[in-house]
Amino acid sequence: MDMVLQTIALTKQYGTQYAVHNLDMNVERGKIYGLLGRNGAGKTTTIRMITALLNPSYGEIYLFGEKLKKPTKQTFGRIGALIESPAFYENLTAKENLKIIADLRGMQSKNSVEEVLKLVNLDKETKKLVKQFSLGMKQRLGIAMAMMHNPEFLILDEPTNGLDPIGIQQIRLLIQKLAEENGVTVLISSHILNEIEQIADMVGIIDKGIMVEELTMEEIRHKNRHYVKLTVSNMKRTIPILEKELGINDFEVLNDHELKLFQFDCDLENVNRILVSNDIGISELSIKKGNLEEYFLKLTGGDSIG
Amino acid sequence: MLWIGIAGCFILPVMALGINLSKPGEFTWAQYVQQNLWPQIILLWPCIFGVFGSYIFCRERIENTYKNLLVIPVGRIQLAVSKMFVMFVSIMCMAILTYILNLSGVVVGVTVTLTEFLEGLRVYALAGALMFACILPVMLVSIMARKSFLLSICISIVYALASFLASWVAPLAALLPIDVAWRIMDLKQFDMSYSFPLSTSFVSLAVISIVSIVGILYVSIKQEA
Repeated sequence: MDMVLQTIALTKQYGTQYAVHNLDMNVERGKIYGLLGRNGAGKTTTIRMITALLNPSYGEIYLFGEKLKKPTKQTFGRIGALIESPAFYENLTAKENLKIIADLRGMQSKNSVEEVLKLVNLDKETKKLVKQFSLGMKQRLGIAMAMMHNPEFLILDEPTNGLDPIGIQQIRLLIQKLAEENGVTVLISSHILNEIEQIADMVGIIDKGIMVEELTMEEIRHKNRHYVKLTVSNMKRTIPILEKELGINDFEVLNDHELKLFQFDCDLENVNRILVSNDIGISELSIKKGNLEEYFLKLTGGDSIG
Repeated sequence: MLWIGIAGCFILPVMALGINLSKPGEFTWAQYVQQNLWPQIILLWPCIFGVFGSYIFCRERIENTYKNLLVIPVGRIQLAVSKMFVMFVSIMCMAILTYILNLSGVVVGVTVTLTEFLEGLRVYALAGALMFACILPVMLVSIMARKSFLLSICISIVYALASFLASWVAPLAALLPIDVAWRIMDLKQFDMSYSFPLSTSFVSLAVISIVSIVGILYVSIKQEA
């Protein structure tokens, strides 16, 4: 597999505290990789190390197959990044800000700035200074700055912050289009699970600086496939009945009263009838679809505010 | 911030004008500009240039635009050298503007020939260059203080005041950067005593400047964005 980004045991330590600890991450070319985590999980710290804004305490970073020692134009010219809240020269217009970056990048095309501003719907804000921009407009300008030079690898740290639902949808469609039509590899970090679920091919779940799990969306969907949720009065008697009388083996016990049935070829009416006839009370029998949020909460605990 | 620097250039020429209104024709051009120069060097310029220089170095970090440059990538050393260059050019421009504003002295009967004007320009340009060297330690502290712009302002003011007071202490007057600049300019406003020869003062200023430049470059490389 052709990896655009690989990290091996990436660690950032502040005193005795680990912001990121032994992080292994693999971003495949042409894919959209969602880096998921709560606030303070280590997403931005990881991205800052990848973009050489922070020096790792330990570990290695490989970009386009080469070990990252110090930023070079050859490597970083192929990367576009939006890191944390976007920042600009507030006394200049959007076009002037992008022009400065374009000149520093040595971009020859005079239309690149206009084209990218049109792409993020900022082409009409010709006279407005950036200090007069709303948060959403600044976010879109940040995305424009990251994309302007047609990078192979786009790193977006919480790109939908401050955007309204229409803006979020536009950014999502733009990212998907870049990945599908232009083959751009995207690393997008977020704590909004719904957004990642809709676009990511691969997901890395990070919690307290540690990569808890790295898996494809297919694997997540499989782990969170449709199920029947049963709430029963007596779990101890329910399980033998399911296994021996009904022949159902594909289930997961959640607690003393709740379980998930994944076996959909079973006759739910029959399940209901047989459990009730065995004096087992059923207070809930419903079909549900697992989602990324449930999976994420299960992996990370989810019992405190992030 | 630029306007603050420019406004600062007006202070002493305007004050000199006010002071000398009652004494028209008393000074030659050289005396007039030197009279305005010594307080610039010892007090006003360290404050103004210190604050201005801190602004140049700290602004990108305070406004968080520094990271935009680093991911291009623009080298950290390249950035630090560029900022020092901008600071030098700004200081020289402000020094020359201050000098040109001394032409308001014609109102109080000061006359000047072209030769005298050019000689005075040379003196002010030299003073500006020396000021750049003197301000470098303040820049180093500003960068190390990262986003604390207020700290940089305080350091500039304390640095200027401490140098002014130290000018009456012979060993310090020969070694501290601003006092060395004053000594090199030989403004003859006061009788000063120095513990060390002029060559030692030159060496002291050179060493402090070089250490400051190396420190600025080192901190720029090592400091996390």
